[in-house]
Amino acid sequence: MIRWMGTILILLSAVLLSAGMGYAQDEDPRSSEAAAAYQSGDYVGAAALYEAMLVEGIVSPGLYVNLGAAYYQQGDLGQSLLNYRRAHRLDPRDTDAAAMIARIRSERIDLQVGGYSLIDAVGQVFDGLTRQELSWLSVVVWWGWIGLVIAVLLSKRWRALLRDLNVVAGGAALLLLVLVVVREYVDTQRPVAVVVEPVVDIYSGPGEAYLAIGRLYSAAELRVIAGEGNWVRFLLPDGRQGWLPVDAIEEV
Amino acid sequence: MRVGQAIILMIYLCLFSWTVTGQDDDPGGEPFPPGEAYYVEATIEGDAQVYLGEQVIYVFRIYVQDSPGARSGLLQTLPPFDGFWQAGAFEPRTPPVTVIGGQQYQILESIVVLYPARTGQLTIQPARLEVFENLFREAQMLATNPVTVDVLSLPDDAPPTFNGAVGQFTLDVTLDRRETRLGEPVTMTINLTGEGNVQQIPAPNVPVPIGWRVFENRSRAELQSNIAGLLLWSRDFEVLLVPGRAGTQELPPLVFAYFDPASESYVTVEGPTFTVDVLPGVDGLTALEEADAGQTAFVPSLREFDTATNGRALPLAPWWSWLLPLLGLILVVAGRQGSAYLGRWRRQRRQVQAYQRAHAMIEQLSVQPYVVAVSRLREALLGYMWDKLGYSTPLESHNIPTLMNEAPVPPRHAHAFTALLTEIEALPYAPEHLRPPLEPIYSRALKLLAAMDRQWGRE
Repeated sequence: MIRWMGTILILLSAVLLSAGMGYAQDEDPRSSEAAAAYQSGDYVGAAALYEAMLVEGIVSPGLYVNLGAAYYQQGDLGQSLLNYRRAHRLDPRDTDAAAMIARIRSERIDLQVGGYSLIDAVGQVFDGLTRQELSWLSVVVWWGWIGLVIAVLLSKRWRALLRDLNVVAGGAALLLLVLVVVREYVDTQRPVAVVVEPVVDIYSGPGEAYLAIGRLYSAAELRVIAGEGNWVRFLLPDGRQGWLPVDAIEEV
Repeated sequence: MRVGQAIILMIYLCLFSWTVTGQDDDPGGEPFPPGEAYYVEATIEGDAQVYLGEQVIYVFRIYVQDSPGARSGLLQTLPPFDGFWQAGAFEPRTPPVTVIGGQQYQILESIVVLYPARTGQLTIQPARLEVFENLFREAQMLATNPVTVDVLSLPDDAPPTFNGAVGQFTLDVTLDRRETRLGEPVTMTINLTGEGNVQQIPAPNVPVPIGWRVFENRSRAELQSNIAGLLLWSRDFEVLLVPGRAGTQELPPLVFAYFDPASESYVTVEGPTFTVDVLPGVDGLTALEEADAGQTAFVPSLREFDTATNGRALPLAPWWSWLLPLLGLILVVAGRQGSAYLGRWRRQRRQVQAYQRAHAMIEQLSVQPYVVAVSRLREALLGYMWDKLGYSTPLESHNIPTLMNEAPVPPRHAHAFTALLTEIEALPYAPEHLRPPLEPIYSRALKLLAAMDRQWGRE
């Protein structure tokens, strides 16, 4: 039984590792074309080429990084931050994307501090892992723990040896399970969005008939917590809420 | 205004007695039928047609007949004020006493400051008063009429600096110092005082010279005064201004625009102009020059990427991957339970069938040679005991005396069984001509086993 569980763990680890490893380069000619346009200062043309690749369904952290760079050079901080954050979501350990995100945050008009809410803070635990990686890590630890429980049930000799390890593994497995569920909830039910309009008025309700209570500028980040027609209700990192038109933002 | 605050103030009002200097009033302009101990009414002070964001004063009045204990045991419930933002203020007003139908009544007021958050007809649901039963009165539930407020949208010609302020305000702008060093912030405090929605509005935009950066620090609002029924709010915004260039510089005046419902027009007010001396940094360079030098050099780098990685990304772990090991655990536990159950079932079956098996074995011994028959008889007796006691390993004769103590049989049966077994084991060693016939021994053995089995069956 122990050997069987070990085999499963090794196989799962191999899946995780292979997913994180680089692949052979298979470069699209438009990528070179876009890079040439970028180097020559044609940032609009470069962004258009990268956008066309995205429309075709190509998903890559590098593509989002390059698109973010093209928008940054155009001065469009909103679109730039959006694409760097998309790159960072696909590869949370991408330090270049993280550095650019920090740079854009320091350059945008809105000074945003805070952590939204407790559940959002919990959802950001282990933010160095993608949702997928966290889910597989949780599965591996979960399998390991259940394997220990089975070993303890089947063998009296293992029971005393594995008792403490069993408690630790059980705690870790349940904690990871909670984190996976919270991350999934936060990412799907309270998605992060970025303001992509230069400036947008925010209202106390879903419509311009409501009271305008402030403004957000390009590259402001928020969480979408509800929607009504063409309006979305948002939460800012400092806890403030309001409504704005859905066209003014894009989800990461 | 929070309902909790209202109730606390209600208690406060109940604790203090007011001087009776009443006059014959007609409260709220509404005719109240005389003779009742309590009346309630809800009104909007002033015009019921207001602009979006304009301050609305909602008053809930309870008229309590001036008699002992009349003000105790009252519970008021304010409506939810849907469509309004509540700023909150609550104070008793004069006159505290009125006369209805020749009777003096004390007036308990709940005042709520509201700001409409959307246009159109907004209806405030009835406020309620619950009068609890006591020795002098019966329980009562009173409710006001609903109150409707017509909310108009603001005119379209708002100036660019308008940020949602509606009311009448005065602006006061101060700077904590006029000399600073490059990169060190100066603090600007913007004070807005007046009757209106200052609690709701964001900080006004602060114009600064090129290279300066603006950070909102904190803000606070408080009810400044309440003179003649006028609710004046004061809001302070604290803003940090970080100079990005050395030298003497002028901060442009802050411009604040608000909508004045009284004049039905937008009003723009300006703060003063400030001159600030910004001393250079330690290295003599200005921060802006440093930033400019860095900005021109910085170009985000591109990255080579693989366009064929689609579909190879790690998927989310499927939901059943958490259930599979649980299933394995359930199978293991079920297997162990099943195995234990099967063992118990087999043991019980052996116990039930022990006598039949021994009986069948003994009945077949008559055709066997003497020594074989004796050996089989011994096996039948030991096998019976083995089945009955549920042992997993075969028994030997020397175990029997000890095991018989565990068996639920009378001592005489136990002694008889041990003696019979000893006798049978001795038979093969007797000379052939002295060997006794086996049939009586078979018969004794079967009788003994039957007696023991009956005894076991009773246990």
